[in-house]
Amino acid sequence: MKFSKLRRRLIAFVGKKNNVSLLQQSPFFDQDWYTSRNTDIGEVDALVHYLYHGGFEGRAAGPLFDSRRYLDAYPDVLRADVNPLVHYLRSGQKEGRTPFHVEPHLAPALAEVQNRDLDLLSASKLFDPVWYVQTHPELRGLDPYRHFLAIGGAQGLMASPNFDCEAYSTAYPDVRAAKMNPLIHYLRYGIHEGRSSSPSATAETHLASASVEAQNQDLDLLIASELFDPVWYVRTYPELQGLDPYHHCLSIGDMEGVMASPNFDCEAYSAAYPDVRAAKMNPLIHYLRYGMREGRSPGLSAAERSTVKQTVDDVKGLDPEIEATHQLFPPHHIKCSINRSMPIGRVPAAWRELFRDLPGQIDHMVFAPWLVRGGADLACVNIVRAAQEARGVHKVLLVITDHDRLEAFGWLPAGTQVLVLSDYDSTLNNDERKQIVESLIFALRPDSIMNVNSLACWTAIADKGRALKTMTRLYATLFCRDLTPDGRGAGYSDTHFRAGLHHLEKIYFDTRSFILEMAERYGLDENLQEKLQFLPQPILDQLHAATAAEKKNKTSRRVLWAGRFCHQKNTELLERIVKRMPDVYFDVWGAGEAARQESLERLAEVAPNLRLCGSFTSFADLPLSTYSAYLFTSRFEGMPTVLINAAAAGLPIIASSVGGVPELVTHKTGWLVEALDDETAYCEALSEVFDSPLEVDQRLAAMREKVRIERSWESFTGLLRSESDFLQHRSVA
Amino acid sequence: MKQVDVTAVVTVHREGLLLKPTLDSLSQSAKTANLEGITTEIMIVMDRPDALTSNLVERYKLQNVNARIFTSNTGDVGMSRNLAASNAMGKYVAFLDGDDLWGKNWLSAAFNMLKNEDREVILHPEVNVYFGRDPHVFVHIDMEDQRFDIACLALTNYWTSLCFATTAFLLRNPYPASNLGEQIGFEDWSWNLASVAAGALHKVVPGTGHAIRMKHASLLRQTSSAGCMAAPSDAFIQVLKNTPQAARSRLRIATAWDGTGI
Repeated sequence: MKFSKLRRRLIAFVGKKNNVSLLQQSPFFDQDWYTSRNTDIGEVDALVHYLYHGGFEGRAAGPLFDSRRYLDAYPDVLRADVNPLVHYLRSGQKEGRTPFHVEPHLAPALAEVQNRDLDLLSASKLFDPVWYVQTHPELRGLDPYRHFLAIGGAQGLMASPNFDCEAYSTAYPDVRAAKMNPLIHYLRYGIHEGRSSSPSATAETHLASASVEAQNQDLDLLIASELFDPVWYVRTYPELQGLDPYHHCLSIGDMEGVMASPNFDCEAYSAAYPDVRAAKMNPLIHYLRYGMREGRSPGLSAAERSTVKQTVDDVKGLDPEIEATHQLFPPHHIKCSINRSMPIGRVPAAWRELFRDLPGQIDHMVFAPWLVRGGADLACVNIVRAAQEARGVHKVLLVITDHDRLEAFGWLPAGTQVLVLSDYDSTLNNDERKQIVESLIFALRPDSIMNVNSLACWTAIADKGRALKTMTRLYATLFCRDLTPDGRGAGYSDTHFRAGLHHLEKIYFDTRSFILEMAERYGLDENLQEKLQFLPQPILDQLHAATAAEKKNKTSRRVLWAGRFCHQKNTELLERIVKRMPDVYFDVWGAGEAARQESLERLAEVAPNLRLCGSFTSFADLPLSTYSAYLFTSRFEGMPTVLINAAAAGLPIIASSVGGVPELVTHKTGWLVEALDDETAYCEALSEVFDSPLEVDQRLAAMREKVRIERSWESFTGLLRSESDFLQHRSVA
Repeated sequence: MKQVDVTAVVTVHREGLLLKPTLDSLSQSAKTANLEGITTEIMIVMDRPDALTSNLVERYKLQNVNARIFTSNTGDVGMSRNLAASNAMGKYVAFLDGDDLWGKNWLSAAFNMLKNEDREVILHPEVNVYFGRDPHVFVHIDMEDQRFDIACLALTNYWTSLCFATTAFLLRNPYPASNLGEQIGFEDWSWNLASVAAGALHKVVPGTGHAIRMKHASLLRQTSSAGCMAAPSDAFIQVLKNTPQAARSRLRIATAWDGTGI
């Protein structure tokens, strides 16, 4: 190959950007900044992590690019499932999209630089602040010096008609690599080194020298690798006699048709990984720099390739279809993809790590999507605790499948083993998480598993239920129908119940009314109805204590309302009640939709009997003893935990008759309102609570007795241990 | 019954004209072994064959009078292999599916590797050349290779079914029945798992290869489309019980009540 041709390819090699080099050369990706703020990535290369994971997770690429804000601002990027910074650099920039800065980090990070460089910039005629603002009108109101130092220079903006940052950085890649402000570099160093302030004429020269620098970095990789054999290389390609084999290998770009050694076929590697071919990157350098860490295969070894050839030679004369498989024969045989027993990819990588952490013997597994402070999460904790009581803490594994939210981790009993799939790869999609759920059951073969609202587990049961039930006994819980804002069913009782029912031993419900609704809705026969089991959630220990406590203000006219401000909770009705009873004080705990929040705030400004108390993390922590009644106004429900808690805390309850509520609140245990949206009925009930203390005492006593019988911890665990239930011990065959 | 070194088994179903190259490759490999002094018997197990397939087998028998033919009616290739093992005269059994091909040296190289082996070892070829539709190369892993990790055997099958093993081991560890109705398939994956659980070591024979035909409607595809999983095994529990948990485990352990309340 002539030197001129080599040189052309050399320039082409440097000029073509793949995503890695695109980010490397971008001022928006800051390797050190990223590494220092994402300590969880461990040994993983920051750029590789950001490119394949962090960007998709919304992690900032550097102080100048906030991925989360970019994805939030441009939903089409989110839908396209591309790295946000790659999108910005490839197309967003041209489309005029905004590269949002990480404001809190920007100022301190650049303060030092500004202090040192401000004088330099002010003294230079190469920066024209008036022209700068006129050229970029969106900067009006900002200090042009500070903006240029903080942002503009890195973005490649022109400092003045006489200094083009982009041209300077392109001409001097060492400046770009150093992520220095180009003009500051010129003023501080370049001018003394004889560099040009308008260097376009010398670009090609500098490009060539830059490529030599890049090659020097790659040279170390080549020298250290056994996959490049310089002696073999020169012997195999005799036309290279007299040339440096290392520099030749680095200089020929995609290395089409070239082998680096008997053990690395460049073209086979490119054929196996189209992204490498598309990037026109040297395949061996790609493998050494990235592919190895990403678990990619370097292709067949010389010995394996020889065996493939021998095998094909042995049988090609026996079957015409083999002879017709052209990819198996030179020169095309290298186009075959190579698979190995040990799989690669996100799921195998995550599973391999996860498997090492698994406990040895698990009797019961509980799957949950997350662990937040909700009713389903409390049910999950109760089930885990019951299983631990039955078999021991070390025989129970809680698997958090869908998210990494663990706000209620502190609810779990000490010693609880919790496997969080996102700890191994937070970017796994639902199909991948489902596959891991299946593999967990397949590998651990517990006596039984319980699904408490895990999407990955529901999908596994629906897809592979017949197989899974040969390995374990499958159980699930359902609480209520989740409805979309326009009233359509969207929860598991609508989406997965039918496909999963046949594989599940039982589904546990917190209300009888929901069981009846499901049986009626799906036309279940008696056998199938037997799978729907009523399992009332137990009341909490600490509220037991509250129940026994004497109320300090039985006669106060202060009412508790607690919940999320949303359509379901009917805050409109709450507002009407507040207005109708100006002599009753309402403490409203919670938060939610902005419009409802604002509406309540407006009312609170004019209604002194309404006090908005903000969010709460724990019902038990509310000043329960100061209230005379608990008001519940929901439009639809299952069996709300907050109502069980209020009952356990000994508060008189006025509640709308929806969902499973009548199973707890009756006319004997509280005040059940049938006219769901009629404030008059609620006001009458409240008045009775305030005016009839004897009646209140009677109904509270009835509620205490009901809760004691139906919702004790003993009845809860007893039911789970019954024949054919979740904690029944499986007999060993 | 006279003992031979290797029983070379072809399991046949309805391969029709695809069977001829398979039988030829078997004869070729047996002949290579015979030249090295290794004695072989050829066995064909036909399971619910069609007329064309039966006819081809009969004609093969005419030319190879010592070949032994068995028939079964299970519709399960694992059961065919069990039938073969229980009738094998060889100390070792090598399986070949009715539409695949062995490289010439398979029987001899596998025998030579296993003949002095004291451990319970199951052999596989180093490479598998998939031809026809979507051609590719599948490279087997050796359990003694440093890169071997059992974990992902829960996700995918590491070794094809065309293995070489002692007859005694196959008799002690028969193939499990497939049950597509219960979404349990992948007889080869299931057996590989069971054999690992039974303490066997899966190794590859360097320099050997098989040619595997990629068909439009293979059993593998039927099994996959039925959403099947392999039969469960204790292999993973055994490994986990005998392996201390990783020092840097990411398994979270709840410590105690954090005071946030419920």
